[in-house]
Amino acid sequence: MAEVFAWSFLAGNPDVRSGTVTLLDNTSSTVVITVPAKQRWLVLFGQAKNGDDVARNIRFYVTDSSDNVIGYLGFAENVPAGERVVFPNQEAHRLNAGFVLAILEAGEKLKITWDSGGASSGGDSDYAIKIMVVRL
Amino acid sequence: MKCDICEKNVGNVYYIYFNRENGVEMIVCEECIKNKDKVVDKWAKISG
Repeated sequence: MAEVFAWSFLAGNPDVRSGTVTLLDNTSSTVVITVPAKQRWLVLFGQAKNGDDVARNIRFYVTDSSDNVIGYLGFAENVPAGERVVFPNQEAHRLNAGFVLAILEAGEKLKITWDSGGASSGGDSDYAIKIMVVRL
Repeated sequence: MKCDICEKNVGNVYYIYFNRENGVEMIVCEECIKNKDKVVDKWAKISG
């Protein structure tokens, strides 16, 4: 039994989606990560950095293929310059879901938005999301 | 949906820049986002 468990995850194979994003003066930035066809994702956790020199709100959320918001995975207000935010997150906020079992179907989108923080120098940010991928 | 920098279709991952004050939006593909200078230059042209 233990050996069988060692070789099989019920929720697919672990994978990471990560990248960098340039933040611009007084402009919101959003990375859109679409679940590919014939895949189903279980979203485990993630992080994003505020690489700007002003505080920014950072939100992790899910939309359907038409960009209608389905739900929030995490939200952090006024993330200080150079700091990171993670999800799940236990900080109190009405858009902070804490731990959720987020299963995404093909075509649904996981988005991370760095809200505009007002006038700034911009900067380099990065993000990463850990997922389990089921290939259908 | 096309990338505003290279004008190729974006893939499963893309980036949206949006200025709420003037409504200007820019779409950037996964390849072009790697070139910071291109992103900054294109945004300067689009946003005026």
